[in-house]
This record gives sequence, C-alpha cells and structure tokens, in this order.
Amino acid sequence: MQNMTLEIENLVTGFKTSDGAFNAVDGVDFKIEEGKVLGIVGESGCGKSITSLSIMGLVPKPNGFISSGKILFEGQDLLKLSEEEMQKIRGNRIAMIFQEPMTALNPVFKIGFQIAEILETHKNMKRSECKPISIELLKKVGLPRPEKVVEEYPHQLSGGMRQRVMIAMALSCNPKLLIADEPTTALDVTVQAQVLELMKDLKAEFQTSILFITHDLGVIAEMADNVLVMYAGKVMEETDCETLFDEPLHPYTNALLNSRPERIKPGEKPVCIPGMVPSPFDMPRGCAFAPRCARAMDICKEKKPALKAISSNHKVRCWQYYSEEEQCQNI
Amino acid sequence: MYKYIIRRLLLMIPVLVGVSIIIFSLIHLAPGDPYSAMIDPNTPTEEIENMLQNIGYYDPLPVKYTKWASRALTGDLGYSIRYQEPVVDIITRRIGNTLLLSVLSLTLSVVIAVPLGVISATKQYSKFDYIATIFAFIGMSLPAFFFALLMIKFLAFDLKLFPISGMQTIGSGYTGIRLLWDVVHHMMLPVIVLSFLQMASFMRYSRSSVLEVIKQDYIRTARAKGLSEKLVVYRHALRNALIPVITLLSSSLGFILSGAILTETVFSWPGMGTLIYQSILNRDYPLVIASTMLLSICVLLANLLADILYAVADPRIKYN
Repeated sequence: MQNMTLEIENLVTGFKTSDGAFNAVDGVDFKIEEGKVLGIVGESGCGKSITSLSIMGLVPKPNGFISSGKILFEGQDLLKLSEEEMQKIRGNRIAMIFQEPMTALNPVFKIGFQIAEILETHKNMKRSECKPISIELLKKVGLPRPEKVVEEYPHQLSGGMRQRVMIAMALSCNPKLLIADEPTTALDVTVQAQVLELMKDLKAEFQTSILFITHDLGVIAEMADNVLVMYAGKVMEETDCETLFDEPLHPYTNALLNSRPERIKPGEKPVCIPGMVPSPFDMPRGCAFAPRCARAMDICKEKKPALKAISSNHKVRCWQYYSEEEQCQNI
Repeated sequence: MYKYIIRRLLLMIPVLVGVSIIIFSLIHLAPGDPYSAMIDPNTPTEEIENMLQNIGYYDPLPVKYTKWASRALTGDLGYSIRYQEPVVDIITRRIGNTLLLSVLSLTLSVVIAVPLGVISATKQYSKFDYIATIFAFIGMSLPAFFFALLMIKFLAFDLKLFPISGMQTIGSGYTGIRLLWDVVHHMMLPVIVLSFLQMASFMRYSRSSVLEVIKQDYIRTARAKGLSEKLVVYRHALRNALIPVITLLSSSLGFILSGAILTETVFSWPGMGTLIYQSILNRDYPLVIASTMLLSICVLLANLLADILYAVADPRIKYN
C-alpha cells in the first residue's frame, strides 16, 4: 500500500447566488498516491477548478462554501484547520499553479520579491538571504538570465516565462502536493511541451504528487498516472491513464476522446458533443449527461446512477454497466 | 524621466498663455466696473468719463492684455483696485492661511478615508460597510456651505465648542502659545467640514478600487502563497488599488492653493477662497486674474505630479 498524499471523500462545494444555491462540486472522492499524477478532465464549468480551490481553502468567499466532505492531506483533514493553520500549508506543503500566467503575478512587484515573499513566510528567511535562492529556483525552471529576471517586473516577461516563474514560486518550498490548474492552456505549443517536461522532471526529483487539471486529453496522456473524468460536478469515470485511452467506458469519456482534433482526417468535419453543459440551476433529474448522450436509455432520464466499480482500478457512473436486475431494483 | 518633466513644464507655458487670455476676456465681459462704487455719485459724468479714459478703461481688450502681460512677465501683477495694495502682497499674506486649512484637511481626509475604504471593501456588505457608505453618501450630497452652517449651529452656537468664524479672537492680542491655540481652535470647525466632505469621495474611491483589485488573479496567487490576509490586502491589493486614487488626489491637490471658496466664505476665513470670491464681486480685475492664474498653475502642476506618481506606483508606466 502506497502512502496517500491526498484523499478526498464526498466533497461538496456549493455557491450561493442571487438565483439560488447550487453545488459546483457534488460528492467527489479521489486519492493521490505519493509521487503520482492524477489528471482531472472535463469541459469548462464541470467543477475541476472548484475542486482544486477547495483543497487550497480558496473557494471564493462569501458566496462559495464547502458543505460536506473530508480533504485528508497526509492524514490531516484540511477542512478542520483554522485559517492560520491553512496559511502555513498553502504555498508551503501544497502549492498551486494557475491557468493564466499573464495575470497571476502582481504587476507592481519585482519577480524576486514575489518569490522571496514565500521564503520569508514559510522558511523565516531574511529578505537578503532570499535573493540567491530565488535565482537558483529560476535557474531550475529553465529561465534564461535569472539574475536579471529577479530584478524585473512581470510585464517585462513573456507568458511562458511568467508561467515558469509561477512554477518556481510553487516549488520554492518543495511541496508534497502540486495543484496545476490548466497550467499550459494559455501557452503556445512549444512552450507547453517545455513546461510539461519541467513538471515531470520536478516530480521525479522531489517525489511531489501532482493534481493536474486540464481539458486537453493529449496533456493527460503525457502526464497522468490516473485520470478522473468529471461532468457537472460529479466523477463520471475513474481509472488509470492507459485504461482510459484503451477501454473508455463512459459515453462522455468516449465522446471526449472522439472529439480530439488529432482524430479528424483531412476533409472531415470535427466530431463534437451535441448540446451544452447543463446549467447548475436546471440539472436533469436523471444522469446529468443523459440529454447529450447518444446511448441514453429511459432510466438515464429518471434516476442518477451511482459510481460503480467495474474492476479494481476502474469506476464508472453509467446505467449501462448495471444489469437489468440492478436497474429494476433502483426504479 | 527628467527630460519628460522638463518637457511637460515647458508645455505649461502655452497653456498658461491661453488660460490668461480666456480669463482676461471673461472677466472683462462681465458687466460693471470696479470704479463706480468708489466714486461719489455726485461727480459729473464727463469727469468720470475723462478719468476712465485716462486710466485706460476704454482701451481695446488686446491692448489691455498686452499691457497686463508685459508687466506680469516682470513679476508685477498690478495693484488691487479695492485694497490699494500690490496684488502679490495680498496673495502672499492670504496663501498661508489657505494652505494651513487645505493641507491639513486633505491630509486628514486621505489618512482617515483610504483605510476606511479598504476596510469597507474587505468587509463588503457588513455593518461597517453600510455605516461608512451612509456617511459617504451624506458627505457627497451635502453642499459644503450648508454642512458648514449646520456645524456652526450645533457645534459652535449651541454647544459653544468652537468659535463661529474668523481665524483669531478679535482684539485678544494673544501671543506665542496662546495665539497658536487660538488659531488651532478657530481652525477646527472648517477643517472638520472640509475633511468630512473630502473623505466621502476618497473613501468611496478607494473602496471601489480595492473591490476591483481583490477580484484579480494575482490576489488569488498571493493567497495561494500562504500570505496572511493582512499582507494580501495591505501589500498586494492596496498597492494596486492606490493607482486610481492618485487621480482623485491630484485633482484635490490642484485646488490646494485656491482654497475652498464656499467653506472659507462661510467661516470668514481670511484665505484665498474668500479673496477670490470678494475680488470677483468687486470686479477687482488684477486680483481676479492673478489668483485665477495661480489656480491654473497649481492645477497644471498637480496633473504633472499625478503623472509622475503613476510612474512611481506602477512599473508598467514609463515615460520617455
């Protein structure tokens, strides 16, 4: 049995809005082993980012709130910690890289200062001691001329360079868990590949677990050990990376795989999933994917299926994988 | 940067020339003249006409302007018709009184209002926020003269906490510390009125600015770094939120020398505000022009200062 870095049980994160309340993350369970990468895929608005913000304790207040569940990080429930205790973990043992490198750095502070801040907060270093370490970190993430970059402001760097700075910041305290929320989405393809390579190296070096959130299946194939497919705040399918690509079970996973641009032959129209992600205020009574599902049955529209274990490392939430008897019992 | 400042200063010259022409024309377009009130109504009309002819009252406007401008260039801003004294002397005597009032009230309002605005923003929709908003609303909508009169009625007349008007107790002959206290005592009410009214806009401005900044991605990054909420707000958010507040500050700074006309008048404060008000009533041409020119120079300098402050506060702004 491997050491678990992160175990999430039945996480429910909701939002209050003027139109009513809804659950953006609706009962999610998963585990990440030490030194492993868990990928979460899904369309925009399916609860991927809110899951990661829940772990960080950064769900936007006052409208967002975690209503139930457990987030066990190295055995400790993060939801039971006070704000001060969470501050000691954030940026230190759990670090996060965000999607938008262009806006994620504070425009009025020098790069060196923004890295030094973390070292000051978590390692009790003096400002003067931080500079050589910041330069070292920037060198490690492959930034050219790091001794100059520490004296520069974010607007003087390109998107790829800024994302490297973000990664350097995230790694400054050797975190046990790194949450990467679409870290390559805003970057062009060559820079994307470099950044992914960099994260892989760092994982190997520090045994860091990574929670990798993306809607790019190519990136998942490249990075992830295990994959979670999310839709409308729920886990639809959970398995290891190879199985996901070789024998996807859930119709949504299949639809996602079929709509990859590299599968389209010249002259063919791209395959897309008809319809839209349902509005959180207007969730279907049955399976959330049923209105868009090509294989939907009557039961799919009536009742929500539960996540079912097909094998030891493969779970799926779909009525097709229930026998007729099981389906009948549920009605 | 220095080159930029020098270029901006040089650019001020044509602007000031334009401003002086406009002021000069406008004040002469106003009906009435400064002399009628000074002359015995029984004087024969021809004599008055003769006199006005002699002092150049009937000169065409361009001639008058050229005469004024050539003297102004040598530092001679003319003689006040009303006070029979050089304009420069009157202004230098008054300007200190106005600066005392305006610098103090501006500093007070910024020092109090910006933190209040920040707290209001970080605790949006809390009781504190609502109370602050109500007060800001009052401060924004109350006219200065009316608020000043209310304060005089309640604090000065009913409660007798402060003197009603003026800058010193007349005929007291105080010196040293007692004089200082006397002036401070007289100053309090106008300072309260002025800072309360200015606080309102500074508070609302910094509140909305912080609310805007706090939604930004880099604030989430700062939190994700594990910084305390205090550092997130007062280091990461405030520094960015202050940039738009500079605009408001510079527009207030522009009027620091001209004084608050209404407030000074209500309190009979012997500053630039009352001076400008009275000189316009008296058609005291040299005094009006000199004080309005001073005001324009001040506004232009404040704008330049704002642009320099932008570059200091925001590294993305660079001038070449």
